[in-house]
Amino acid sequence: MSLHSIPEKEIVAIILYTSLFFMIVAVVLIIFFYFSRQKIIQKELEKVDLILRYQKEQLHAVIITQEEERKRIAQDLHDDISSKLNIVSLNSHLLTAPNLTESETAEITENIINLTTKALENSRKIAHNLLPPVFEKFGLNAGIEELCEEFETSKSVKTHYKNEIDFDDKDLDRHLHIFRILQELMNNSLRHGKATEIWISFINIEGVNTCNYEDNGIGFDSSNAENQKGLGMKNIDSRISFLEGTIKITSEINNGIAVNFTF
Amino acid sequence: MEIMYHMHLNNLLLMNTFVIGQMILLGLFYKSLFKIQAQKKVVVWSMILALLIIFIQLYNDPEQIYKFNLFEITICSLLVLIFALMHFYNMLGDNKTYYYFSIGVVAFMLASTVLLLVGNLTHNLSNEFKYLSWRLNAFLVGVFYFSMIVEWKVSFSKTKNLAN
Repeated sequence: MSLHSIPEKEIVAIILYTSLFFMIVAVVLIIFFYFSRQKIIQKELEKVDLILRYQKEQLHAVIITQEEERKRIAQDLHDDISSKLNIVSLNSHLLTAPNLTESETAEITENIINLTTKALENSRKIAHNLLPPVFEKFGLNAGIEELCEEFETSKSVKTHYKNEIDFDDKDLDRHLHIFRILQELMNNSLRHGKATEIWISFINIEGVNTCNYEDNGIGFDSSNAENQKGLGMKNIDSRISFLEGTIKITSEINNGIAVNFTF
Repeated sequence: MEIMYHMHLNNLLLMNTFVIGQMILLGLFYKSLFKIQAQKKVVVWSMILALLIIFIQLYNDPEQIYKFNLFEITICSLLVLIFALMHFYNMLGDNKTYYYFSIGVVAFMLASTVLLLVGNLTHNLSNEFKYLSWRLNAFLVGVFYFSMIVEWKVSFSKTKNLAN
């Protein structure tokens, strides 16, 4: 009836086994925690690595865009200004030649004046393209109005612009993104879409600023993901993410394109 | 076991088979969950080694099969615990598979092993306390099965798959 009737050996064995069991369990648990910690740290390192890689990719994209922009500016300068200034300089040299008749001098001078006017005009255009002064001075609304006018006069596109939002001049940094997005969209409509009419409208829907953009160009198959991977599209995407907005692009072949984005 | 008790058979034989069978089944179960080949090998070889040692022990001392075989209980429970912890380790940072079940296994093994280890002592207690450890163990088995039900509800009731 009492413990004394069990042989002592048995009790000792039980105690030994129990303590052994717990000791081994403790050791196993310690090993378990040790390895768990290592694994968790490794996972965290991997996460940091992923973020770093993503940042690197972004940096890469930035550099590529920068290079492209430089190339474009260099081309503009070379084609539109350098060539003209070259002819101006040639003409000026001609002026220094002896035995020039009155009419020849007049012709050359007229040439020079014409060319310098054109070069001036072009340099103004290039600067304009980089950052329209109207936008900086009078805000987004005026900037887009001017953009539309420019497209209408120089590129034979009919534009319809409607604005219901009063833009705050303090948000000029954000507005520049919107301006660039619209610029890109309009350029795309013209270059790829062959559009002849463009509709732009800013509406405030339940406190959310929304921009609707439409054209009547040839459009593309928006269900095809290949069509959304160009540098321009990526650019628009990253600008939208800067604005913390959303973008929806719908398009059908031969049915134009419709873009809705919020900001 | 109750039936065998009433038939005045020694039901500890059944208990020993239960412990060994439990180890084999849970070992195979965890082996099927492991994806790393080395872990599978560890499971298989440790189980074979344990069974071998247990059989050698029983061969030398056949009486052990009718008692609470301390060595066997310790080895089997430890192995199952280690397998469960290995599974927990694999689950870190991944999706939880058989999470509740494994919690049940660990809790059950820790408590039940001690109760089984002191089993030989309870022989000699008065009838009042004799079955206390048994009832406690039965309760733990109940908890263990409950963890299986929870696991089944969480993981399988939606997909309508068969639980283990």
